[in-house]
Amino acid sequence: MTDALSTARRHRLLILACMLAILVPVAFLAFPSTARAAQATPTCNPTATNGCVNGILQDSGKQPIAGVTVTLSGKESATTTTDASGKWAFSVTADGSYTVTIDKSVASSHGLPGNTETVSIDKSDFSKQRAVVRFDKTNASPAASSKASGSASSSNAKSGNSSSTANSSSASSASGSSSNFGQRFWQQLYSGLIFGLMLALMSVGMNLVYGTTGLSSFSHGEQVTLGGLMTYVGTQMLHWPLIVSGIFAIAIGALTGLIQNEVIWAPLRRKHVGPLQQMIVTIGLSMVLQYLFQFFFGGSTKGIVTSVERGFQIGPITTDRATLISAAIAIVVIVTVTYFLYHTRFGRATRAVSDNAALAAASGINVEHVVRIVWILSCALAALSGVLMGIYLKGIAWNTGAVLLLLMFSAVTLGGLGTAPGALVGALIIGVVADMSSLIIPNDMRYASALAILIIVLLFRPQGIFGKAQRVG
Amino acid sequence: MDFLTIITNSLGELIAPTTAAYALAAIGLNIHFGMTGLFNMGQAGFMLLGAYGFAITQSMGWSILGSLCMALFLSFLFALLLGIPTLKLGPDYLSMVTLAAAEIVRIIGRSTAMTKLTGGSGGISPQDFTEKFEALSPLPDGQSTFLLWTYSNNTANSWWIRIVAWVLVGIALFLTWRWFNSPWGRVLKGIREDENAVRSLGKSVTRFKIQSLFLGGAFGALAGIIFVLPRSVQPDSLGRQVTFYTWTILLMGGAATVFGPLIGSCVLWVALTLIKEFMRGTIPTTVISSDQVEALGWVIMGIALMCIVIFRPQGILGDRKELAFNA
Repeated sequence: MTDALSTARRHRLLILACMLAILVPVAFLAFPSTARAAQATPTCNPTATNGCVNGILQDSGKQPIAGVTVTLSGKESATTTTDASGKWAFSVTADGSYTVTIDKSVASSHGLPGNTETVSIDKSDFSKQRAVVRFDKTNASPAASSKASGSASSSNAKSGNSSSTANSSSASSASGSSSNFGQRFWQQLYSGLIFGLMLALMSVGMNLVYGTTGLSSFSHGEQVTLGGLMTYVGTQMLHWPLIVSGIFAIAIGALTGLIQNEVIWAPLRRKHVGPLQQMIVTIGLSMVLQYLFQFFFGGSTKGIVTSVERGFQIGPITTDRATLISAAIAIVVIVTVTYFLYHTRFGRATRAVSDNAALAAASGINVEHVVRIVWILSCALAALSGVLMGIYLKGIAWNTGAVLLLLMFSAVTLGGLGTAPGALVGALIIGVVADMSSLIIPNDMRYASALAILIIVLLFRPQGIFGKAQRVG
Repeated sequence: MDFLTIITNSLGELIAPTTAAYALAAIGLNIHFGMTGLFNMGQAGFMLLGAYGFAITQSMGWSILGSLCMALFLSFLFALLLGIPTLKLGPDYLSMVTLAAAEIVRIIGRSTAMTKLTGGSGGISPQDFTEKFEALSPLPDGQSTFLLWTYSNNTANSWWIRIVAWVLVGIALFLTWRWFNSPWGRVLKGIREDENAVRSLGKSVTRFKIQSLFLGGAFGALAGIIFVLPRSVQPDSLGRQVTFYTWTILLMGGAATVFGPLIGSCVLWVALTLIKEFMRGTIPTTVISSDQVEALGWVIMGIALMCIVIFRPQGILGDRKELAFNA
C-alpha cells in the first residue's frame, strides 16, 4: 500500500491525468462472501461478490498492444497478459485500493504517459465496483493536474465521471509554462468566456422552451450529450468528416426535438398536465436517455477527434484553432437566434407566446406551431453545443450533459428565466466565474461556485438580470 | 440461473437496508412535497449531510447519540440555509435551488481539498464509522438464517442494520401518521392547497415551511446514515440520481399518503431486482453485458417515473383529489 502510494506520488501528474472510474450501478444485494484471490479473466463483470479492474491497452494512436504483462498489486495480486485487442481484466474480491502496472519500457516505447495507476474498488458501491485503467488516456488536462498536484494523493487520482469532464474544460490552460498568477488569470478568463459561450448556446434553447411553455426541462442536458455522441458516431464509427458529422448530429437533435414535442409534450399540454408534472416527466426522460447512452456507448469518454492540434499563443493566452472556430460558430449562432427572435415575424410570434400564450392564440398566432418550432430549435441548439463541447473537451461521455445541466439552470436563472438575452449574459457570467474561481478555490470545486451564484441571485434578485419582477413566484 | 435464486434475491430486497433507507428518504420527501407542496429536489443533499455528519463524528470517536445529533443538526442547518432564501419563490425555482445546493454539498464533499475530512471522492470506508454501531448490537456474532435469507448478524450488511432500519421506518411512519392528522399537519396541507388562505388566517407560512423542510430533511439525514452503514460514505453514490429515485418511489407509492413511500420503495426495489436478475439469468452476456443490464434497469425506472406522472399521478395508494401538483 505504502509502496503503491510512493510510486503514485512519483507519477502523480500522469496518474491524475489518466484515471477514470466508470459509474456502474450496483446490485444492492450482498451475500456472505467466500474469500478468493484476484483472478485474471478474459472479461469481468462486477457482481455482489466481486469487483473488476480492467482496461484496454492501446498506444497513442488507438492501436491495441497485445501480449503485454499487466500486474495487479494491492489488496490482492495477480498478473495477466493483454489479448489481441489489448483487453485485460482482473476479477477481485476484496474492497480496497489496487495498483496496476505495466512494464515501463512498453509504456515509453508506445508513447504512453504512464505505466502505473492506482484505483480503488468497493463492491457495494455504485461507482466503485469496476475500475477502468487506460494508460493512453491523456486528454484529462495538464492544467488541472498540475494544479491539483500540490495536494496529490491516491484518492484524488480516481477522478470520478463528473470531474473528468470538469477538469478537461480548462484543457488549454498553461501547463508547461510558468504558472504565474497574471498569466493564469488571462488564461482562465479566456477559457471561461469560451465555456460561457457554449453554455449560452445550450441555455438559449432551454430558456426559449421555458418562455413559451413554462417548462424547466431537466432533459436538456441529455440533448447536449446526444449532440456530442452523434458526432462521435459520425466521425469515429461512420468515418465521416467532422463537419458532416456535426450537421448529422444537429439534424438528429432537431429530429428528437420534433418527435419529443409530438409524442410527449403536445399530448401532455392537450391533457392540461401542469408544468410541474411535466417537469417530473423531463426528469424521467433524462434518466431514460442518460442510461440509454450508457447502454449503447458505455461509461467511458468518447473522443470525437483523434488528432491533437498544436496550440498557439495569442498574447498571454494559449489556444488552438478548433477552440477559436467553435467560439466563432457559437457567437454567430447566438447572434442569428437573437436576430431571429427580434426581427422576424416568427420571432415576434415566439415572444408573444412567451408573454401570454392565450392572448397570442386569440390574436391569431398558432401557438402549437410556435412551440413545435421552439422545441426543434432548442434541441438543435443543444445538439450543436454538444458538438462544440465535445470538440472543446476532446470527448463526450454519457453524463456530460447532466453535469452541465445545473450550470444551464444557473445561467438562465441569473439572466432571467424566460428572457431571451438573459441566457447569453447569464451563461457568460457563469462560465467566467466557474473558470476564474479555480484561481482561488480548488479546481474540482469550481462548479460549486457557479451553483452558489444561483442561490445568491435568488436571494437578492430572483427575477434575474433581465427578468420582470412579476414572473417570480 | 434457477428461478428460486432470482425470487429469493428479489424478495430479499423487501427487507434490505437500502429499501428502508429509500423508504425513509421518501417519507421525508412526503412531508416536503405530499404535505406542504415543497418541490425539494435536494433530498440527496440531506442524506449526504446526514451520512457525513454521522460518519465523520464517529471516526472522531463521538458516541452514537452525539453523531446522530450532529447529523440532525447539519440537516437542520441545511434546511435553514435552503429555506430562508427560497421558500418565498415558486416551485420551479425551489427545485433548482435545492438541486444546486445538494450538488454543492456533493462537490465540496468529493473535492480533493476536503480529503482529510471527508476522504474526497474516495469517501469514508466502513471500518471508520460502523464499529460503534455494530458494538451496540445485542445479537450474538455469526450468521443467521430467517425464512429464505442468510445474513451475518452484526457485521457489514447485517440483520442488525435491517432491524434498526425498519424500526426507524416504523417510527417515521407512525410519526407521519400522527402529523397528517394533527392541527399542524392540517396547516401544512392548507399551505399546499392555498398559501394565501393560510396566511390570511394569521399563520406564518415561512415558519411552517421551514419546520416541514427540517422534519423531512431530518428523515433524509437518517436515511443517509442507514444508506451508508452497509457500504461506505461515497459522495457520488448520493448524487442527484438518488433524489430522482426517491421522487419515483414517492410518486409511485402515492404522495400525501402515509404508507405510500413504504409501498413505493418495496415495489420499486423488488421489481427492479427481479427484472435485472431475470435479464442476467436469461440473456447471455455476449448480447447484453452486466453493465448494460444495470443501465437498462435505470431506463426502466425512468420510464416508470414518466408513466406514473402522466397516467397515475396519485400513485398506487393516492387519492386523485388530494394531489400536490397544484401550481
